[in-house]
Amino acid sequence: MNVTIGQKILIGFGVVVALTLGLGWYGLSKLAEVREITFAVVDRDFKAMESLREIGASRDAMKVLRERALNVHLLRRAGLTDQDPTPFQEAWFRDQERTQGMLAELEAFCAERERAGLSPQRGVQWGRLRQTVRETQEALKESAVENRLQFDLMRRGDLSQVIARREALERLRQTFDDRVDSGARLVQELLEGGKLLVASAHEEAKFSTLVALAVVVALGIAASLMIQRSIARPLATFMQFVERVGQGDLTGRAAVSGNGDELGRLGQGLNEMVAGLKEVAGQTRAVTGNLNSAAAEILASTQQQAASAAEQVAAVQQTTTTVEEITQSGAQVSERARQVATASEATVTASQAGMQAVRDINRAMEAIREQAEAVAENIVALSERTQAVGEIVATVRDIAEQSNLLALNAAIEAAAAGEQGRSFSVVAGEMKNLADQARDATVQVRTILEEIQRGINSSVMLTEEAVKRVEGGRQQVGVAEGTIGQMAGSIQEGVQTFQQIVAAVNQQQIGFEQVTQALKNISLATEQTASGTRQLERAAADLNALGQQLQKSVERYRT
Amino acid sequence: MNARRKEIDWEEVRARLRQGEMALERVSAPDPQKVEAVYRRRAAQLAGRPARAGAVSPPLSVLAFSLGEERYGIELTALAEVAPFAGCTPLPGASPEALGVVNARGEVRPVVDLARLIGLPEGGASGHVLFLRREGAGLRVGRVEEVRQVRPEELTAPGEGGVDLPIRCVKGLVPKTLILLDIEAILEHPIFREVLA
Repeated sequence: MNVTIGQKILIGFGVVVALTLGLGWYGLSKLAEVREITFAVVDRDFKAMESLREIGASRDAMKVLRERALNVHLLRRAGLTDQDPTPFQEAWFRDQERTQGMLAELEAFCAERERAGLSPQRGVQWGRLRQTVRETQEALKESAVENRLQFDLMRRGDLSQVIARREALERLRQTFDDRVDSGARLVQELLEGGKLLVASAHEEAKFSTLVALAVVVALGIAASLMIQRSIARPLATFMQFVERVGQGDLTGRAAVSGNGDELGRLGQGLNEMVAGLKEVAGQTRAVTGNLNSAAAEILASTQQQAASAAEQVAAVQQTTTTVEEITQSGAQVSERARQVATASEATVTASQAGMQAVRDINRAMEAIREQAEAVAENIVALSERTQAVGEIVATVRDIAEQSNLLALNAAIEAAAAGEQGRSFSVVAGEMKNLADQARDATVQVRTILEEIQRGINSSVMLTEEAVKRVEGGRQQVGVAEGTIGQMAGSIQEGVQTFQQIVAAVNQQQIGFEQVTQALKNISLATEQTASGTRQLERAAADLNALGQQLQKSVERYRT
Repeated sequence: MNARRKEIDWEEVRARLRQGEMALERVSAPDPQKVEAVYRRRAAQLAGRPARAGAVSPPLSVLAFSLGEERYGIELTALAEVAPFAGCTPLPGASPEALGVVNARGEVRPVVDLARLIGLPEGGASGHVLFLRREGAGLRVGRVEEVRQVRPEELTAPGEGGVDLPIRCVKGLVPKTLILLDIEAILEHPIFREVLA
């Protein structure tokens, strides 16, 4: 779950504010409850008390009315007045009716409160009040009956009786008063009870509000602790890590909290920073090491250079000597090259004579080839003659064959002639013999002709071979001619080369003199180099010391 | 070259050539002694003829010719002419034995293959034709060889020689493997009636 620190703080404040709001709402609701109870107690109890007070006042008015009615009767009786007492009596009855109504109303009110009291105890008290009101009503009714009786007695003028019955009336009135007083006491008790009720409601509200306050405070502290834990602990870790880094320890890694809040990013940033520092420190260390070794190498090579500068001076002197020797031997080389060039010119003349001889050989070979070809043509002509002979022989053989047939037919004719043809048959037989001999001779001649033809063929082939070999000889002679020509050309080039060598050696002599002068300059410059090298050596030593100081300062970082 | 292996002697070569020329001249003009010898031999042959005429029975002149592997003979008296066989014009619808007709000195003559007629395999392309005196028909045979004189008492009966031929065509057997054919019997063959009709 990715919750940033800002979101965490916002959530904590939100929780605290919500708890505070709830606590305020709860206290206000408790206050309203207490006010309701107070209002209920004050309204109802005071209403009952007022009602009882009016009832008392009404009873006092009724007493005054009865007294005045009695007085009027007494005065009429004494003849001191002719005032009619009836209106007072009637007024008394009206008051009695009214009081009766008020009592009934009070009783109904008490019955209602008894059913819906704020507490069971107040219900019981209200019940007792209702009972007292009922008894007051009873007393009032009895009083009404007694008064009606006394008024009748007054009207009839029986005052003594009236006075006699005053005791009873007084008793009834006493009872009524008692009841009203006890009702007033009950109302007083109700008031006391209401005060207790209000006090207890107040206590309860106070207690529960305090409990809620404690819960809110506890929750606020818990939220603050959680936020503090999630921020301050990683921060402390990071602080330790950063202190270690400050002391040069780059080996550790900041603990990166898993969720991607600001601290996680801070940890990642610290890690990357330390990695970068580590790399920089490592590189710096490596570079410093390289620098030190390089400074040492520079120092060493500067020392070597100083030594080699001295060697160089010696070598330059040796070189000068050698160059002088070379100059002398160059003159000898020039003389030898001139001799060789002269000898090479003689060789060129000889090779030209060789070329001429080779050309003569070539012409002779050509003549041989032409004669061999003539021989071949002659032989071929002979072969053609042989073919003509063969044709003649074939003709002779045909003639022999026909002669044979002729002899046979002659024999047949002779046989047909019978005895007369006998000698003719002998001639026919001779003819046949001759024809046979001629045929045999042609066979022999043919055999000989074939042998001659074979001999001619092999002769032609041998001649062809000879012509080919002569041609090969011509080619080889041509190769020899080319070789001799190349040789003559290269000898000619050699002559030119030697002439160039002579010229070059002369130039070389001049160059060697310049070299000798230059070597003297080099010797001078080498001595200057030696002095410069000593300065360089001192500078390299300084550089070496600086590199070691740098390495010490870098080694403070442990990677 | 050959000259390198063996030096040639040009003098000897020229001598050999001269000898060759002389030999050629000798051939052109024959030796008189040799000519004399030839003449004497021929005279002797001619002189010997009357002695044979007085024999007990006159010999038969037989023309010998080859046919396949064997040698056959026909009496000269039965023959009219011998000619080289140079092909013939075939006759449509004829039997296989009848080869066709040829023009012999202006006359049209039928030619019959003797080999087939006597039950032998057909002969080669070359050969001769024997024209018979009777009927004028031609018999195609192999190569004609010679004329032989056969004494009748020398003949062996066909049954004794064991020759594998239609026995009626064989007149007799001559020693030295010559089979003498009976021309009369051959002409009995129906083919001649067919070709001569």
